[in-house]
This record gives sequence, structure tokens and C-alpha cells, in this order.
Amino acid sequence: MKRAYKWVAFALCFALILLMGVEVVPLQDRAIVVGLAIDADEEGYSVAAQILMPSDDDSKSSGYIISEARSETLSGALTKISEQSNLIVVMSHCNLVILGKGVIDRGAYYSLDYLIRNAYLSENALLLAAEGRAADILSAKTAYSETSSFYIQRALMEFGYYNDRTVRTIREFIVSHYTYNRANWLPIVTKRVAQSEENPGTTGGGTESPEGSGEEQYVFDFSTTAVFRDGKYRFTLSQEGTTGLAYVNSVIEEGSVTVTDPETGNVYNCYIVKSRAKKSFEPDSLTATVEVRVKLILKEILSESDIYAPEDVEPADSIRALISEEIISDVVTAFETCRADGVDIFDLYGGFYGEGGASWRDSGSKNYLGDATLNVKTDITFH
Amino acid sequence: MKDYDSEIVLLKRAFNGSDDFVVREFTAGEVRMALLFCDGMVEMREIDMGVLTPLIASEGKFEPTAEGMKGVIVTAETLESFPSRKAFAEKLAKGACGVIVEGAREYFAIGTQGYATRPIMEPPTAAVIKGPREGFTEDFKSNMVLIRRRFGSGKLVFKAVVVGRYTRTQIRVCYLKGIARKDVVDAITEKLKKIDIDGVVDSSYVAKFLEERNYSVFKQSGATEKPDILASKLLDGRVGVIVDGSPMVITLPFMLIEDFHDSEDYYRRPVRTTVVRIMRLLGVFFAVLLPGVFVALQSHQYQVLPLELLITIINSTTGIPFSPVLEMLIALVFFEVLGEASVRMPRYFGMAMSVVGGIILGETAVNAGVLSSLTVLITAMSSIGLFAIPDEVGAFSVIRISLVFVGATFGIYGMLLAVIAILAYVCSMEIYGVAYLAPFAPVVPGDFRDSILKVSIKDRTRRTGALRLKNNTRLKL
Amino acid sequence: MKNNILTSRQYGILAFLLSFVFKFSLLPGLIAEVAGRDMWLVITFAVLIEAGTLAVIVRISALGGMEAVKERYGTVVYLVLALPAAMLFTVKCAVYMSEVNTFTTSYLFYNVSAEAAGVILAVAIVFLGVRAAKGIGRVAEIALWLIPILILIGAVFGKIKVEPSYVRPVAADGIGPIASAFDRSLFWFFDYTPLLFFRLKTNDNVAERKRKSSGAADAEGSVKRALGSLKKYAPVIGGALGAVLIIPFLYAVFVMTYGMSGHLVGNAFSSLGSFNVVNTEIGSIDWSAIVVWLCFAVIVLSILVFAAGRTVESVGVPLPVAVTVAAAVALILAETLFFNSEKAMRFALSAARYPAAAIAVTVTAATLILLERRGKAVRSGIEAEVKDEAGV
Repeated sequence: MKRAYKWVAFALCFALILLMGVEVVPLQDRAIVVGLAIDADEEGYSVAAQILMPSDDDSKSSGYIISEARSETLSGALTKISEQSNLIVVMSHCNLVILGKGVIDRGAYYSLDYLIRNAYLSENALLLAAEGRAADILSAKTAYSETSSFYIQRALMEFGYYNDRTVRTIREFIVSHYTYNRANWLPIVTKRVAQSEENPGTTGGGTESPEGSGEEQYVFDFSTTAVFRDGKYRFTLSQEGTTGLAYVNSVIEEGSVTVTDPETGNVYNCYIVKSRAKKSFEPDSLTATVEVRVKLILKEILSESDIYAPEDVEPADSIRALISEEIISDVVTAFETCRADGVDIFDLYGGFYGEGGASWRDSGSKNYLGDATLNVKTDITFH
Repeated sequence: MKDYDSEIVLLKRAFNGSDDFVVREFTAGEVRMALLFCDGMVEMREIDMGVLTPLIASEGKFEPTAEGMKGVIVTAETLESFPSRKAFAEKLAKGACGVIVEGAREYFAIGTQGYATRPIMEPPTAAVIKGPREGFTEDFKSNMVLIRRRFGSGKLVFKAVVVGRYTRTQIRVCYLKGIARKDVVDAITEKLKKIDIDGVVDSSYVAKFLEERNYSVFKQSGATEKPDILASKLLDGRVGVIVDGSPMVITLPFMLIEDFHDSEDYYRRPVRTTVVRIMRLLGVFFAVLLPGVFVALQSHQYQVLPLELLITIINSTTGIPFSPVLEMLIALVFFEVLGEASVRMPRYFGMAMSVVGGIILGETAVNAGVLSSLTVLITAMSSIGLFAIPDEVGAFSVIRISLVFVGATFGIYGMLLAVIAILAYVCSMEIYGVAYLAPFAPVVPGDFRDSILKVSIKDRTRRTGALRLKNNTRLKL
Repeated sequence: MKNNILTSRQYGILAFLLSFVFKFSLLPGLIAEVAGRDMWLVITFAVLIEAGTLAVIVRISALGGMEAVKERYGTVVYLVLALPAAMLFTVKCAVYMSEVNTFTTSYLFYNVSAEAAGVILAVAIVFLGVRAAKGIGRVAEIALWLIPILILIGAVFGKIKVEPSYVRPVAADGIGPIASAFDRSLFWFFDYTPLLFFRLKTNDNVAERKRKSSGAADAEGSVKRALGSLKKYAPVIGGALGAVLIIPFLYAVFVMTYGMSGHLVGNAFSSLGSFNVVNTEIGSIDWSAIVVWLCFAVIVLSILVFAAGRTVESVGVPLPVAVTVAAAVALILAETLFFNSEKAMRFALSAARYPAAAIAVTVTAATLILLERRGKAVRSGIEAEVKDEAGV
């Protein structure tokens, strides 16, 4: 009898579940978005989604298509993409979002609201800005790989952070938006046609395009940074400022520092093993100190007579000083350029408030950015 | 007991005129006697030399009682007297040689069993590289001997129970006095005595009566064909049930972790054994979860998959006319049928069918676009993983198919809930008061030394704690 | 009577899970709305108070638990305490089910109805709840193995990206926002109350139990007794300590990760469980955190329905029926009144939180007072208790 009750209960639940139903959408009917480009104008949003297209064999390769749609809202545009492609757009593998100039001008954070609330889109996805149209970046054919989204992701994150570019995820952007000053930044991605005489491996370099392809191939550049305050675009930070920003806000594991000895004319190129910055704050004197600890390997000394790779050569103190000066200069450039526009790019407020507490906030915080002094120190060691 | 002539008639009638029932009448002196036996069940040489010759030589000059008979038939292994014809007939049916003496009040049965039995050999289900290779046979007495040889003390006890109205199957409950729990022994014996069935032909019949949940996919009793394994289980405090006619000896109480142990585990190095057991555990996970997870990820939670794998899956499943769940079920059913066919196939066809089934059909199905290569791969991995624990193939096979349905319907979420439900079911199972999932649930810390991990025999100082034995010390340092 | 016994290890694990699981889904976001970066202080305060209630509940268990109340004071007094508790557990179960359903339907599926997700969840929690303390405790022991796997995956594949300075300054705005956030989140606290309906296996012999239940003065030295108790209750202490240390720590990590934007986070555990990794070679690694959280959530929900069912089982209702009814009521509430987590949150943040907290505190305190009254006769059935515990 007891068993009968159990089976009856089980059958009831089973029937209930069957009646309610679960919709299963086959993988083939899903549009796997790997990159998203959002542009905006007066009429609304234009969204371009880079969608993977399956191939017929059991390979790991795939093609892609760029599907664009316009709507008043972001979600509306994505829905239209679904309708156009007859596939359900899914954002679970979208690790790259590029915001076009129009979106940035309108207000980057405001436009991200839908993406933030979308449970499928990872908050660890990369967020970038484009100087012009974001869709142009996404649809550019790259010199190294067919899919621009993967290329950009690899360039920014594959082996660690570089010193000459900044990296932002959606989460970091949102977190910065909720600081006191609401200072924020996004790396700017620009494209340029790959040149055959350039060496691969240099910043922005590429290989010659395959013969007979008939289509331009591009490489991407990340040497500048868009700076925001309160979600609104303010200005573009130069390469030096970008580098300075990277030194302070990222743990760098890739990249190099090149300095020229003014006395000998030798050029020293040092590879960065690791670089991290430590900030400390004195709220009473409004002094913030950034100490950048850099571990380097001396890779190359280029002299007028010869090029040779040094073995166990410890650079002279003067070279260390040059490197230190280079790093300090970059950091100060970033800070001063932002400060001039009222952007607290290094979140000094957070640091002073953290040290000084409510008493500092209530008494001495009105013009903290203008009055603050930033000391930059370096601690350079050679591996 | 009636008069001599009537008894002959009645005994013939008891065997319903069966042709193999032999009645050989003779006289010793002036006393009429008869030998009764089942043809083929007795050792004729023993009867001639040990029974017939002494009786004839005695010329009937002895008391027709058990003591009198024992004085004449001195070389008999066993000599029993029976007042009841029914019990006497049962004894004859089991291979004894019966003697009726005119004027006696009892029937006499002499142990002269000589039926052919399978020789002691390595059991096919438990082949080892290291360790003993003896295996139980269908004769319970031989099996008892194989156990008795391993114990040099009188602590090994065999309790007899007879079950089956027609088969009168001999069962022996064996345990080590002072180690096994008396309540468990008594509970098992009581259950056996309560069995009222027409016949028992295998130990699995008996096992069903000793289990509580007959419709559960999980087995609730252990079984072994190897005397060394039974001996180690008896030393660990378990009880063995030997059933005449079956080489499988039942062991109780049973815990699931026992099926993760192999006979050879105890003869290998501990580190190697630990690694092998971890592989078995992984094999079980693959076997049970992989098909369902694969279907669930394809149908619902594709976001878990790395992008490259997702691309591969999309590419390989493009053009397949079936949904992921149907595809997986076709592949699983096909592999199950192939497995069944392989077991029952004559040896000569087996190799060819393996090639046909495994390689040609699998590859052809992929090439024809009926199945995707990934599905075939997943099914193959799962099926191989099943045989990491051969004794649980039945249970895990059913569970994996159920999880495929669950995964297809409710994805990873449904599978998670189903796994929790299965765990809840298994966790609440107790076999004669011993938790089925010990030592993991409930945690019995000392038992981890011989669970998935395997420590050296020198470090196993205690018996299995989950059995809650009074005498828990196995090794004194 | 014998289906509510837990070993001390199981008790400790369940205590940890009861406190941890639903404090780490929607609650961090809700606390962050009011307390901002001081949310970890709010939760520290809360778990410390909860640890105090756990000590009281363990003491109640040592005195015989709710069965002892029924035995000494009769069914009416027992029901006066137990029925409000049952209602509380059912409503909490409904709110928590709503949280789970919303998370499941929004993150795990493209398009599954909340009703369907709710039904299968209810079936699972009933199935586990009906297994009573033994089943729940053992499943929890096995589920705990998921935590090292989660930590291993995070350690191998994850990246640490926290900003410790986000936590400072501490309590800059005083106690006001902290108290306000604590008050607002009352519904999610006092989660140990269901343990009133479990019994802790103490391994005390008959004489010891009789002595304790009669409240007789103890002749043994208090230090020796305390040390003995410490050893016996070590897993329970461990579970409570785990909750007291780990929950505030994770809240602090949450603040260090999200700064002042924590209020936007839907499920804190799965967000932190992504370990800052983008879905590339190894897929999204937050699935491990999701699996762990869902598993623990099912266990906690089954504890709630079991405790709710247990209250009426003591008066003759079969446990499977009682548990099924409790789960069905919770499911209906979750799918009607609390159709999505927004509605559930609104309910939990409303004035309903005060009676919820009051019931939890009052039932616990009243039970302790009733059982501590000296001079009462030794309760019967102690020999049976000892026998029951031997089977656990």
C-alpha cells in the first residue's frame, strides 16, 4: 500500500512536469555570440554580433558571421538579430563587448544596464571602446586569425597583462562607476591595415596578407585609453598615460621597457617579468604614494656597432635610473592628465577615506584631487 | 517402519518409479537386506568395498541398529539412522547409499556421495595475477572444505539450514564465533528458516530473501567465488552463506564500497591499489554521469562548455537527424544489446561480432550521419567505465539511462536533483544495521584506511568500524 | 521517535549549511544596498548572535529536545511552541525556494517555467526530507566533499583579483547603517531553529541521561565535564566556528571584489565562484560553485520541510505525509505569492521579518526555559533513546 502511494505521487509529479513542459532548443538553433559591438545614434542602438557558424566536419574550426540590427534598446536589437538569423542569440560565450563612439558619448554605463542584468553574459567579459564604429572593429578581418573577437581577447589577456595597454572587464567597469569620483576608463581598440614589412610580434605588427586574398587584413592597436567620469566620456589618454595607468592598476606580466642611454647612445630593452604597484595614503597631508615594483630581464643592448644579447649583465645604476624615470613619467602623465579634467583615475578618494575615515571625509575632502600630491617610487630588480 | 517388503515398495513409490533409483536386494546369512541409491550419485566402489562386502561378511549377525551397523561398516564416512522414511528418502536423493535391514526399526544412510562435480579452478569472474586461484564450486561440501582449510581454529562455525520443498537445498551459514555479531547471524539464520519455497537452484534466490528491498537497483548482499575473499570477509566480521548448487557465496552485511575492492587489491602494493581504486571511482563517475551530462549540456547548459569544445560539438552534431537524447539512447541501447549478445554468443562468433558491432557499426553509424562521433565516444567511455565495477553493472547501467532522460528534460539542474535523490536513497539504506555507504556516510574515520585509499596491512589494526563489532582488533602491534 | 538523531559531525555540517547557504545568494546584495562596504560587519554581528542561539539549541538537545517538552508538559504546550515554528519553516522554505527557482530559471535555462523548476525542486526536497535525519545528515556528509573540489578548481584555474582597500574605512558612518541593514535582513537570520527538531547523538549512557534530564546537580568537576563536552561537541563547535569565520570572510571578499556595486549582484556565491575567469579553454568555472550551492540549497530546504513535518509527526501524522504537505505548501506559496525572487524579497524585507525572527527566538528561549526547570521527573524512554542512537 505504501509503495502504491509512492508510485501515485511519482506519477502525479511526472505528469505535472510533462504538462508544464521544458523547452529544449537544439545547439544548432542557437547563435553563439562571441563578440558584441554596440553603436548608438539619435535613433537608438545598432548592435553587431559576431556569431559562430558551424562547419560540416568534426573539426574544431568554425566560420563566423556578423549580424547587425537596430532598435531603440539593446535588448530589442538583440531580439532582432535572433529574428534575422532564425537562431536564438545566446551570450554565454560572449567574452568581448566593444562600445562605439556613439555609445560612449551617450553614456557607457547607462548603455550597459541590460548587459549587467543579463545572467548569461559573464561579468568577466572584456569591455573596450572604439574610436569610431564598434561594428567596424568586430567585422575587420584580422591578419593572424579569422575571428576578431578571439584575436582581441588573446592580445589583451592570453599570457597576462601588458604594460602598454589597459584591460577592463564589465565587472571592473561597474565597480569603478560606484566609487566616489566615478572615474573610469576603457582601452580603445583601433584597427590598421597590416603592413608586410613590419615584423610580427611588435606592437600592432602583422604578417603580409595571403596572396590572392583580395581583402584587407588588419591588426589592432590598444595604445590609448578612453577616460570617463560618471559614465560620460571625457578624453583619450595617450600611450604614455595608458602605460602609466597599466603600471598602477594591473599586475603586469608581459611587455617591455626601452630606454636610451644619453651618454653612450645604447638602447636597452628590458623584458618585464612582473610588475605590481602598491598604493599608500596620508590623508592629513593629502599625499598618495605609489610604489611600482618591477622585475625585469635585460634582453637586448643595441649599440651603434653591434647587437648582442647580454649574459648576466647587470645594468648600471644609470640605466636603472632611466627605467625608473620612464615608469614614473608614465604614471605621472596618467595622473596629471586625468586630474586636469577632474578625474580621480587612481581613486585617491578611496585611499584617503580608507585611511582617514569619516573625519577626513567630513572635513578635508572637498578639493582633495586638486590639492593631492602623488609620489611615485619605483623598485626595480633584475632577474 | 513397516515390514521389509512393504518398505521396498513404499520407497520405490517415494521415488515415483524413477529409473535412476536402484534397489539391490541381497541376503547376509539369513537376513534380507537391500541397498538403495540413486544411480550416478554414489561412489560404486565405496559401496561395493565399504558397504556390501562387510554386510555380506557379517552374515547378518549384528544388531540392526545404528551402533550395530557402525560396527560392521567401519569405513563409512558418515552413517546415520532415520526413523522417518521421508528424511531417509531425502538423504538418498542427495547421494547417500541407503540400507534396509529386515527386522530393523530404522533406515540407515551411509555417506557415499560420488557424483561428478566441477573441479576447483580459477573463477572466470575473478581472475588474478597475484594471489590464490581457487574458486568455489557447486558442491557445498567442497566449498566448506575450502573455507575450513583456511582456519586453523575451531572458531569457524557452520550452521545448517535446509531450504526448498522439492530441492531440499543445503545451506550453510558460516561465521567466526567471537567476531561476527550474534544478532546478524541470528537474523540471517531466522530469515533462511522462514523461506518456504518449492526450490532453490542458486544463491541468488537466497540472496533475495536476505535482502529487504527486492526492487532496488542496488544489490544488498555481497557475493564471492573465491575462498580467500570469503575468508578475509569472515575475519572482518561478516557472515557467509554457502548454498549447495551455487559457486557464489553470499556475504553479509554488505556495503557499496566492497564492490570497489578487488581480490587483488590485498596482494598488491598499497599505493598501486589506491591509484587503481581511484581509477575505478572515476570510471563509475564517467559511466553514470557522462552520458546524462553530455545530453544536458547540449540541450540546456551549453554555457558550461569551453568554446572550442562547443564548436566541435556543434560541428559534429550538425546534420544528425535525432535530438541529443534520442541519439544518446540509441547509442546506449545499441551498446547494451552488443554487451548482451557478446555474453551469450558462442566463442567462435564472439570475435567477429565484436569487430562488427564495435568498429564497423559504430563507424558506419557516424559516417551515415545517424550518430555523431562524440556521442559514440561518450557511450564507449561510459560503457568501459561501467566495467570498472563489474558487480554493479546492472545498477549503474539503469541509473545512467535514467539520468540521460533527466538530463535531457531538466539539464544539469535536474541531474543534480536526481543525484541528490539517489544519494538520499542510498544513504538511508542499511543492511543488517550497517550503513550502505559507510565509511563515507556516515563518516567512519578508521575505515578510510581501506576504502578508496588502501593502507598497508600492517596499518590496518582494526576491523571495519561500520560493522560495529565488539571484537574490533585485528592486528596487535 | 528515532528518525531525528544526528551524529555530532552531521550536526556540525548541517549547522554550517543552515547558516551559510542562503546568506550567500541574494542577501549580500540586499545588505550592500544599506550598509555598503560595512556589509561584512553586519553579517559578522548576525553570525555571532546565531552562534549563541546554536549553543542554546545544543543545550536543548542535551536536555532531550522538543520531545522532552511534549513528554513533560503535554501535547498542547508542545504544539503551542512547535506549530509556529512549523509555519516559520514553511514560509522560509517558500522564500528560499523562490530564490533558487529564480536563479535556476534565469541562469541555468533558456526557457523553463518557474513552475516546472519549482516542482522538481519540491520533489527532490520531499524525497530527501522523508529520509529524515539519517538521510539528510549522510547526504550532507557526502556533499561536503564538493567544497574541496570547488577550492581546488578555483586554486588551479582561478585568478585572484581583489582590492582590500574597498573594505576600509570600517564603520565610517557609525552603527546606524549596520543596525539598519541588520534589521532589514532579519528574515535571513536565526537559521539554526530547525535543529530544535533534531537530536544530537551524545553517546551518553542511561545513567548520564537520567542525571541530565532530571536537572540534578553534577558531582563531577566542571572543568573535567567541560573538557569532555568539548571533545564530544567538537564537530558542532567546528560547524559553528566555520560559519562564524567563513561567512564574514566571504562577505569581506565580496566587498573587496565589488566595492560599492555589490547591490547589483544576483547570486553572490556563483559570482565569486567564477574566480575572475572568462570562459575560454576550460569553460566557465562558476558551474562548480553553482553545483555546490544548489546541492547545499536542496539540503537546507529539506531540513526545513523535515523540521516542519517533524513538528506534527510527534502528534501522530506520518512523516512522509507531513513533509509532503509542508513542501507542497511552500511550493504553492513560492509559485503564487512569491512568483519571482523580487516578490519574495519584498515579503522578506517587509514587516513579516519581525514575527519570523520573534518566532525563532521565542520558541528557542521558551523551550530552554521549560526544559531547564528543575525538580521535574526524569523523562521516560531513555533506554529506548540509547538504543535508537546506537543505530545511528
